[in-house]
Amino acid sequence: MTEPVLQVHDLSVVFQTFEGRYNALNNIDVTINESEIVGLVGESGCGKSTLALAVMGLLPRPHAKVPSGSITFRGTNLLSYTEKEMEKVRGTDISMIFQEPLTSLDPLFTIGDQLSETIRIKLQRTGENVRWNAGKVRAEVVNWMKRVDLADPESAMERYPHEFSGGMRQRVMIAMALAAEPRLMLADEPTSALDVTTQVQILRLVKSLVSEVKASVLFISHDLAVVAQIADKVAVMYAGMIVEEASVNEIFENPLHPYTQALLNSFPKEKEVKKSRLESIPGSVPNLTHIPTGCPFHPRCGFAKEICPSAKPELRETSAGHKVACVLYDQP
Amino acid sequence: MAVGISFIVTSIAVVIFGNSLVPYDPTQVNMMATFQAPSLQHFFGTDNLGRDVFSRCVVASPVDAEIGFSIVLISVFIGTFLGSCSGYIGGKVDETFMRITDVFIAIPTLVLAVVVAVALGPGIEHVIEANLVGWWPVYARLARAGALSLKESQFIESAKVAGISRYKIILKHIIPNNFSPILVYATLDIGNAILYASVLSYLGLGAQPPQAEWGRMVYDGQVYLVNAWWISIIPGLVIFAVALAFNLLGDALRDAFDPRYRK
Repeated sequence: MTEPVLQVHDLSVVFQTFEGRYNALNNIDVTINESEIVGLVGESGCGKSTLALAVMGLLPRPHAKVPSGSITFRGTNLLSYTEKEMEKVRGTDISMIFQEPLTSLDPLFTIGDQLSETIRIKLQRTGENVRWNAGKVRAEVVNWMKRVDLADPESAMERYPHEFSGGMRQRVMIAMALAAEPRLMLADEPTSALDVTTQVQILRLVKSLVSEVKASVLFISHDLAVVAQIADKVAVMYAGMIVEEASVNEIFENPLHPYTQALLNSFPKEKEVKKSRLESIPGSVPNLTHIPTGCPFHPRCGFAKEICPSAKPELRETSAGHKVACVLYDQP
Repeated sequence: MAVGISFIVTSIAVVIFGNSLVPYDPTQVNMMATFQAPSLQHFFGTDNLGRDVFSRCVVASPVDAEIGFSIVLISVFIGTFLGSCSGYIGGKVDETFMRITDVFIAIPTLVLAVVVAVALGPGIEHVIEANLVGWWPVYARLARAGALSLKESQFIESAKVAGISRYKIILKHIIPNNFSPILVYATLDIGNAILYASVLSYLGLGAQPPQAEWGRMVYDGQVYLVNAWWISIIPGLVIFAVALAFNLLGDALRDAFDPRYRK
């Protein structure tokens, strides 16, 4: 088996603020293999975006500290890189798309200008002289606009971001993220701000383009339905920890962790339309300054045992490829 | 707005073509025609040496325009660049830059300019240099404030993840997006710069005789203020009108750029 594209090991991130220490990530392990789409699911504020920023080297310094862990990208630890070296990794090796396509483009420049900015960087890094090669850059821009299904690329590239709809702008962002043919793309809730029909189109587009350029994806979302459509593997996060990890079918058919089960129960199912109320998880997401001791989910968990508040469960493999962090599955 | 623009357009014409249109030689001494009150022959009268005040006001305009524009343009360049870098990079760089600008802002601009001008000695270039010392920090502050808020915006974040270097982000995304408040402030400021430069000339630190310069003319005429008011009052009114016109234009520009001020 080839080595994984990204291996996050034992990563912790702490934010030092006036209100105290926010333990945004606690000993996270994530592995992304070649051409794999990993879905990262969790409620707001559980640390999903922090993980993406940590991989990008864009944690807000000096408030963020990384007390432990490593982020290994194709054999080297990104945490040991300087800012200059990270600049070379961003965009070409690892790229990222965000939730708000409406504000992700500079309002002063045309779509074509902004796309060619990334395409120039890519060509430059492959050693081509782009200064005298405007035609080639332009052709590449048009090519990518076609690949993300933007109609009439020749005239669209002369237009400004405000003339584009949210879905169109997200397509531009995807083109910018993939134009450099990165090995890994981080997608931070890329479809959450779009309406459902656009969402489906964007998801399909991402999936097909990613397999064309053979990139791996870390797909962050709070929406299990979205992740179900795109991911190969799913990791469920709660209060800065990964509580369960399994293939997408396994998560939906055989969820083990009480939190995952509760998440799935809070989604409407086709067969149960008559049931008037949806189940919700009691309580709320813990404040990251005061994460409950032991298993962070125990105050809200219906299966909590006496041991839960004191023992922090480890992420253990219960069957092939299915890992869970819960005492219920510990072998006696 | 129309008043400001039309006045400035006329002024620009005067600055460019004035030298070839003046009715009298502005440095020609004519002892037969001293202290003449404003009339159809001499629109603004004549001074103690019989020189035509109108001609002198006109030929002084390129000098004052040069001073005003140089001070503001150079300040905009220095201030915008330093302020944007400081705000965007943040941390210790920001802290250092801002303490330096604090030092300059703490001393009144005019006092600083006078001290520097005295040290450098009289002359038009020295007036510009002396004013610059205290002039750029305001622009650095303004640019920094903009950079701080822009830095958090999503499109800067996406430029970062696209692998665009820091330097390029500052030049291509921070500065252009931050430019309209700076432009408005600079327009308002040109009037001030001319005013300050005139003050230095009035104190004898700027233009030297026989060169015509508005501030200098006010100074030269004040001895005769009681008998021949026009020698200093008229150049003074010219300074006032120019400063006012740039203020009106700056206001208009702000209204145009910022929809909140639109009626």
